[in-house]
Amino acid sequence: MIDFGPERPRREYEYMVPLINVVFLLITFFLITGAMKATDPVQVDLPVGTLDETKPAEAITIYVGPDGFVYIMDQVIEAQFAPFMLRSFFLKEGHRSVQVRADKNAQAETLIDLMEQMREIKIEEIIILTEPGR
Amino acid sequence: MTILDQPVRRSRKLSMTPMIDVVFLLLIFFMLINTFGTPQVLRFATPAGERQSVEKDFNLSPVFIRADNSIRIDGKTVPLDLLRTEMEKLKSQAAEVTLMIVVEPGAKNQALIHVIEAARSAGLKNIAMKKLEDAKAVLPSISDGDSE
Repeated sequence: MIDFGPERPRREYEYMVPLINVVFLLITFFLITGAMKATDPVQVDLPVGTLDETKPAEAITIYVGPDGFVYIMDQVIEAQFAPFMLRSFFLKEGHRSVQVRADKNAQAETLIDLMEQMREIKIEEIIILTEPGR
Repeated sequence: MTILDQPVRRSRKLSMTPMIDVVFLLLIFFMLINTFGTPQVLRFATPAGERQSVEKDFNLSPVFIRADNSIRIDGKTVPLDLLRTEMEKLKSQAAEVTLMIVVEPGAKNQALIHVIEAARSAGLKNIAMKKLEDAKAVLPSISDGDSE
């Protein structure tokens, strides 16, 4: 029979340092990999896409919800009234580049109308955001 | 001897429990607040000027996105995996081409994105997206039966 020697005495309490090390590593991981962002005004499921072009430096974000409502900053408008709002908003803010987070289940007609309106008020670039797909 | 006169008894080891509580709270905070995976980008340069589209701008068969999100080119329904090949065939028809994507009422954004990406992948740079009623105004040859 193998003799393993005398059994070592058990500690009175569990040793916490390895646990704290792991938790600190997890915090560091989340701090480095994650990106904090402002809460979206509407829950949007982006369409799935495969292409990814270079991102512009700065662009204002417009949301198109699944119900077709358009969200600009803290304002909600029906798509048909968007031109008036867009015109006054972009003339005031002076943006020339707009990114659109449109829900994949929203009507494509709404997005086309929105893009046409943006073209009319001389938005130079429209960026459509998609979810990475296959 | 009163209680106040007694020496304060200090524990030999610092208690780790409050620190662990705080660290776990921080961990949960960062897990909840972080967003992973940045969205992809499709960029469109809008055409300059006030000029409206005219019939001679479009020398290709339009691509129809129907209300049930199926895609039709030249009267045939095209499955998604063959979309790029069909677009490449369209591109080979003329040297300088502008593709018109016609969207029927009820079609969803996802189908539109599929068509745009297929066109981009096939090398079609100029794309016009129109609603069915607007497309009819530009191309009188389009009838309701074209997309059926």
